[in-house]
Amino acid sequence: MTKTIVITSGKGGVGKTTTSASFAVGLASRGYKTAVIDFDIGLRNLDLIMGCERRVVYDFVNVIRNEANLNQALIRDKHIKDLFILPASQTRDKDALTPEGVAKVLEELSKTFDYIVCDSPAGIERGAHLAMYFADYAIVVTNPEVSSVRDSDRMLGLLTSKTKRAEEGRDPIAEYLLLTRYSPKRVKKGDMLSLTDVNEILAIPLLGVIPESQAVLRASNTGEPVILDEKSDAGQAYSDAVARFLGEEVPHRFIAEKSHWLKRLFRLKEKEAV
Amino acid sequence: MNISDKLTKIIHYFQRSEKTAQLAKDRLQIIIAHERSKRDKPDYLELLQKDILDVIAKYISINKEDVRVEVVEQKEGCSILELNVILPNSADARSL
Amino acid sequence: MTVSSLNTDIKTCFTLKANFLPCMVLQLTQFDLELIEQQITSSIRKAPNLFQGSPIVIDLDKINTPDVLNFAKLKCILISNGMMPIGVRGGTRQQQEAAIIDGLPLLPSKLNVIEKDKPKTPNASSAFSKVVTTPIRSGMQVYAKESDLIVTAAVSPGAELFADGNIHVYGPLRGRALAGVQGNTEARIFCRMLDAELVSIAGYYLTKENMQANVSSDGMIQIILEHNQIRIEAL
Repeated sequence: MTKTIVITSGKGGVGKTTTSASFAVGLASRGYKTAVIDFDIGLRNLDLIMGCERRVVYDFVNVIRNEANLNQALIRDKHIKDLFILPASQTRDKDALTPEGVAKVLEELSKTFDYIVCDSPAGIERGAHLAMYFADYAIVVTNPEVSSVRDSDRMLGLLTSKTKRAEEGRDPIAEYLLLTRYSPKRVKKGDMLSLTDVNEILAIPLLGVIPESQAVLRASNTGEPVILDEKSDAGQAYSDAVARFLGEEVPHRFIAEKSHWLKRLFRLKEKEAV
Repeated sequence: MNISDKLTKIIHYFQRSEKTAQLAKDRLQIIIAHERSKRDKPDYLELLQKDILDVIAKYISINKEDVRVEVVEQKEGCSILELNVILPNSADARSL
Repeated sequence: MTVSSLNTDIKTCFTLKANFLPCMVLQLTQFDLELIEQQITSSIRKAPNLFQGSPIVIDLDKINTPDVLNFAKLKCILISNGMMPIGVRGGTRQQQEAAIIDGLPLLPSKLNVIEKDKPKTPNASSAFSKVVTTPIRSGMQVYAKESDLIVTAAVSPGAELFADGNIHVYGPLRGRALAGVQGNTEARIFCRMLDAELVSIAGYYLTKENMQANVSSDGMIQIILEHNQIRIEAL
């Protein structure tokens, strides 16, 4: 049974595409045939983050409109053999994505894929709505910041009512929280909402905490999803999150402040990072 | 890790960031130039070019760069669809 | 509260909706037209804009005589003073019939309208209350019609709770709670953790910035309407 996951948030710029890319890589690396789809209309991002921007020939809307078939549009990832990308359309027509069209594409993908990751655009308009409509799982990406938390809460409200599962009275979408751009240092100072603060307000199971990391920018610069940067904290955090999603018990590694690198540099013994 | 290893790590860290920014710049320049050239064209040109290439390729051995489709704006307000095909020497033409 | 149209057909050009509208009532105690005119004119002089163009209902409840009033003339007096008589209520059957003939429709008498009558239903809770156990997210609205509303989970900021009766919130209340929305002034709001953006009873409201923080939040908090003022107190 194919599992469809939507990566959503409401608020823009919190890390949806970064998460979609890394999550898809994480799943495919473990042998699951995975497709990651960019649901934005008019602005293409996923292809850049995945590093396949120069190989885009056909896109999501081309397939919906039968201007190309799925095999022509799907781009095989150069790092992971089981990973395929379906880029967004650059078309100006906002009505290009239709529920029927999206359903058709997802159904076709379901025949051969184990996981479909839907990268939602920001907001609550058509693209965002269609990205979540057919999902079985939702990863709500949230920054520890007031407007992000409120927008995520709003999104959770929509996930309980405006999805196919809700409309058909089936089991509700399984919701997960992914807290991104977390800085334990600032939380300790009292400058940033803590994990417990956010968890208390949103009250959904926590999938992972991704620390604020310079590796993320480097990853988008190079077009290599940050999960592939195994030395980076963000990369490892994403790896842990994928493991948790697949049912493994993984302790959260990046929620406590780590000791300053200078302190560690001049210490003769290596101190274990908490 | 001893001190010299850590120092190497620091230097390497800074070098790495510079390198990725340069790579990002290179990628952006290519993709934006490509997208700008597409922006003013009607959407179908790309597909039209590919279809024409496919048809010609059935008869003659030809590369993607040898086919160019463009919309040219005329002064009188109308546009012309211009198609340029560079054919190879007759010796290269595939026999049916 | 959204009212979805039933059987929306492209050809229909209106929908009929039930509504409760605020309106001034002119409660007559005597049928002396000259006196009525004098007093109305002097009232208008004191507050010229108070009644300008206002719809007004003529109430005959306090009239003791069975005589019939010249409603046409009364209408002229009212209109010339800037009021718009829209109907009549109360009085004897002959008085009502005379009013109808003079173009004043008959409105239901007080006892049939859901109003702030204290001896009547102190709490509008019907046989069953509406219970919600899942978190109420930002942007969601819940309306308990003709009953109380009980919420056991959290109410997020940006969420709205409406009830004709009382509202009980056992999770943190961070959104808006409006009790007694049909006018029941006896309605109350009970909550365990008050962090609401706005609370309201029967149309009277209090926003977050005007709420005092000195109410002890160890136990339940009760919000009631007293002398047209919202009061928050510990139970």
